[in-house]
Amino acid sequence: MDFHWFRRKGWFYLPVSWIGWATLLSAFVYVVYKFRVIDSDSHSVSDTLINWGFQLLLTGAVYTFIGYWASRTT
Amino acid sequence: MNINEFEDSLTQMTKPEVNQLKHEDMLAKEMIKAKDRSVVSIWWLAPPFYILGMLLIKALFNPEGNFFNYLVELVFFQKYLAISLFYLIPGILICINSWSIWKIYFIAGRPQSIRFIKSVWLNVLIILLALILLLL
Repeated sequence: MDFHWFRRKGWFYLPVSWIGWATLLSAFVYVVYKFRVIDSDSHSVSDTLINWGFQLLLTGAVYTFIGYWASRTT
Repeated sequence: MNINEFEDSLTQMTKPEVNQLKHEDMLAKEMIKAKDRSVVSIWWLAPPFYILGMLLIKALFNPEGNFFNYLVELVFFQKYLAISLFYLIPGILICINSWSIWKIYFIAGRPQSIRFIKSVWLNVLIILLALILLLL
């Protein structure tokens, strides 16, 4: 089964189909939502950024895995 | 070279040459796959190293803080997260990258040269970083 949703460019997977763009948009919406949630519970700016940074990296890791899986040709 | 000439050259080609072409193609594909896997691995190594960095900064700026105490606290209060980030993911990454290196080493005909190390240096680095996480 062939997937051509993403194409690797250096350290990032760039979307090349509408499903890929939808995935990237979903990831973006998720990190914005997490920022708002973390910011509402935090006591300082650094507290927000430290916790959000972890969520950002985790989302990036999941997105990269999807990109890797959906860009391969078998 | 037009398509007819190319077909002629293919039919005139001796068996070892065809094998060599297939072999080079396999090696090139495997090296691209190894690069793809190393990119995914780096992304998955980033969250645990981010946590370590934050704990280290916390320990440096708190006069009574201790890095290893913070690490033990993390394991105690966030058991599943700690197991996933510091045992499961590094273990999987070591297996995947070792497999990539072994396949390239095998397809390239067990080379003993520095060029082989240069082609897989990122996978070796990922294995070393994952080992650091496992040993912590």
